[in-house]
Amino acid sequence: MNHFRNHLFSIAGVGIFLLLAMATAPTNNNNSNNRPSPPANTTMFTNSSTGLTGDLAENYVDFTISYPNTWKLDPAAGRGSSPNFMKVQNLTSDGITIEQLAIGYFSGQRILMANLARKLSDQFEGQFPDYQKITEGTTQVGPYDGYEFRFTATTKTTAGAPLDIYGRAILLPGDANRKGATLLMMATSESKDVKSISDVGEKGELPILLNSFRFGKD
Amino acid sequence: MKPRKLPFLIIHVLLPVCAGGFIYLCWRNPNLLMFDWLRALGFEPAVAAMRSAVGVAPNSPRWFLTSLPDGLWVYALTALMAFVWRGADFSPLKIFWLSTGFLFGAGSELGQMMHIVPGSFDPIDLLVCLIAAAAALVLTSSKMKFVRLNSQGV
Repeated sequence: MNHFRNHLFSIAGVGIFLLLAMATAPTNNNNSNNRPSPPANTTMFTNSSTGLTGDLAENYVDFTISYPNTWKLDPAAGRGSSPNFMKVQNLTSDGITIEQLAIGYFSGQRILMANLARKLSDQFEGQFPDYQKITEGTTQVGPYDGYEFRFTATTKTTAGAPLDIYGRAILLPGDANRKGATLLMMATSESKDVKSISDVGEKGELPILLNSFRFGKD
Repeated sequence: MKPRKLPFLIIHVLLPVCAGGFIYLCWRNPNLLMFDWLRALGFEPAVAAMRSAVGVAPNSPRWFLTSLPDGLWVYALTALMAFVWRGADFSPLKIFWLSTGFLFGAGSELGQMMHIVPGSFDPIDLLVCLIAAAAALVLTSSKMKFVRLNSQGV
């Protein structure tokens, strides 16, 4: 009888602990293994090595991503000294950034992701006023495991109005067959949907891009 | 509940769970179900304020953010089973229940290695699970003996 009670308590205990473990599972928002169909009203960007020089050519990585037709592709990305293969932005009619995504290369190993993320964060610290890294840790983009950090900063519009920046940088390591990539997402206080770092890539239109990102032939 | 049981449960079960939960709440990425649940319960502003207040874990090694919470979970579950099965004679069932923490922790890691479970396999996680389960058994068995001796008036 006493052991029957032990079994009951054990089952209840394991159940509670499994519930706790379940709470730490990733949400399904960016978790699909399948290559998604391009969403409506989007344009698919396919990276190409044509015209790339320097580090971008050396660390070229195949990927595709879809972005809303209302977003603007930055023609400077993928050329000259640009660190990015591509950059897209959603702008207000005044040219103020609402959301943006830039994709560059990541040639480091998986085990070095945390260290490299910190170096990248230190680099951002010198570029953005009031820069503050808020969180860092493992993350997932589609079927890919990565490492990310999220940050806040401020800037000013060309008219001098203050603008809050909510940022999220994701490092996706490569493997034996391909290089990795960095995904830098930023949203500003011009966004109606993104109100904190937790919302970057979760609300607004950035999730459309994030969910559509795939390496090479994946 | 006898007075000595509550401190045991607090120290060996509740505290490790809370410590692991604190690491998740403060420093892990917010794309986790727990954050959806907390948002649904209206705790999002409190969590955001806490994350902002504690800032980034200063120069914390990766194992602190990723392996330690798993180890604390394994420790707490193993300690809970040791508590539930204290005083019972050793039997295959008792060994099974005492092993559940390690089995789930290690099983999850091995499942990741075989791509059955989402996530990436990390040998450090596996090692931490083993150490945590062993630590819980060693620490709680000595504690149990102490309680039993005291209850017998020795």
